[in-house]
Amino acid sequence: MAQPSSRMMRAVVFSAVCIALNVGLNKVAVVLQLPVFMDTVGTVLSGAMVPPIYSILVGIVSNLIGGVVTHPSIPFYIGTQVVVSLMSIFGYRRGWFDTLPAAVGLGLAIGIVTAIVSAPITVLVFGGVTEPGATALNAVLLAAGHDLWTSVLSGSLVVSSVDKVIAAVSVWALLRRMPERLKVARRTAAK
Amino acid sequence: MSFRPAVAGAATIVSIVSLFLLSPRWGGIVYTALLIVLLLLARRGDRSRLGPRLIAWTAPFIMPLIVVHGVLNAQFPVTSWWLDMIPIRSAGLTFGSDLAVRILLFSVVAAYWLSVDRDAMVEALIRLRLPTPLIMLAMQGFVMGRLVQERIQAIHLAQRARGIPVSASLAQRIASMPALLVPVVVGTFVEAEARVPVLLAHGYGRLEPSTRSARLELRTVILGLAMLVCLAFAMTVDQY
Repeated sequence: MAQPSSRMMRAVVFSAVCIALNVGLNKVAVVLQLPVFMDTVGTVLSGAMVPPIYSILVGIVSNLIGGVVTHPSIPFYIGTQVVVSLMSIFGYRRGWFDTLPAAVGLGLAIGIVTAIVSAPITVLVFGGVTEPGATALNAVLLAAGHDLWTSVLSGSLVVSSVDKVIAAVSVWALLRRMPERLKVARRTAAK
Repeated sequence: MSFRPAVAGAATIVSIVSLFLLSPRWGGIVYTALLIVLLLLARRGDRSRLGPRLIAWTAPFIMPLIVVHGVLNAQFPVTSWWLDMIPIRSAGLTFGSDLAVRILLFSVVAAYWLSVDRDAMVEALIRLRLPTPLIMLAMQGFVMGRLVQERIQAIHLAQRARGIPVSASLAQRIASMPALLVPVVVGTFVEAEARVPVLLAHGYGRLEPSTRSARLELRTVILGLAMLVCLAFAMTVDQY
């Protein structure tokens, strides 16, 4: 088997850090009972740190590992992670992580799209029950007389938007504070 | 004693088949219960605490499912009132409990995967001839996940000690997330970058399958057959 290049190894190690961030932060959010998921910070960051194919793999592998480490419901949302990854790659290439308002806008856009992508899984597989914050919101909307689909979509839009804006702002802050040496590595790795 | 990946794979496949063949009640309940018994029997004596983990995974779903569909979901008609105040929707309760059984089954399958020996898992992935970067990425990610989690908790405690409001109100906790994240992530990336030449020098990334033959162990075969027996028994229960 061929010797892996330094560039490939760097992409692998950086991707592993992004996966670790997704899994670790999600677990911390579950333990601290935060009303957000925090499971996409690594995926959003990977859009800026590693080549596109690795970024997509970060999303997929994170959810597979999260299914065993954090909660068995997580692998059902692999499609959502792929969408987050694609939007982050696009956003990074457009320079949307350069300023705070642009990062907030990108986070909001990712939040809206992922809410739409995840809602069918939440309704059809989990009967509208998901992370505690979103479930509470869904329950309030259901009690107000809305149907399950409307309630889940509305609840997901709120929670997912907050979650993804936090992720995008965190990545914006991270990219600004990366050491110069890593910034060079990032530019070469993300190509 | 941990499992071979084939056992977890068999549990996954048989459970997917069961979703199509069994009704959630009673066949689904019986199959899930038997799968739990099989798991606990096969792993008796170890300290993995799978029982509490199964409860921790499933319990947060059961109560909301019962409340959401048995009480709140207006798509189901009200059949009675509890204390003349709370509507009870029988069809919603049934729907919610059926979903709860399904979620318990997902949790049991995840527990089988959690019981897989990590070295055996790497070996199985190499034998499947998956791309080397993918295998390395999954394994490194798995190992580093715990590391990052421990670091976040350590920094969380340190920042709290310095007066940064990481445990205050919800808004403050969310606002403090970047302050919590930056030291962990930057530190981990710096370390990861420094590790690249070391990994290359040690020959990581050249994954060769073990020369040992990949013969199935007797225990793996027995567990696989036992799962099929569980499914057959649950199908029989379903018919009555």
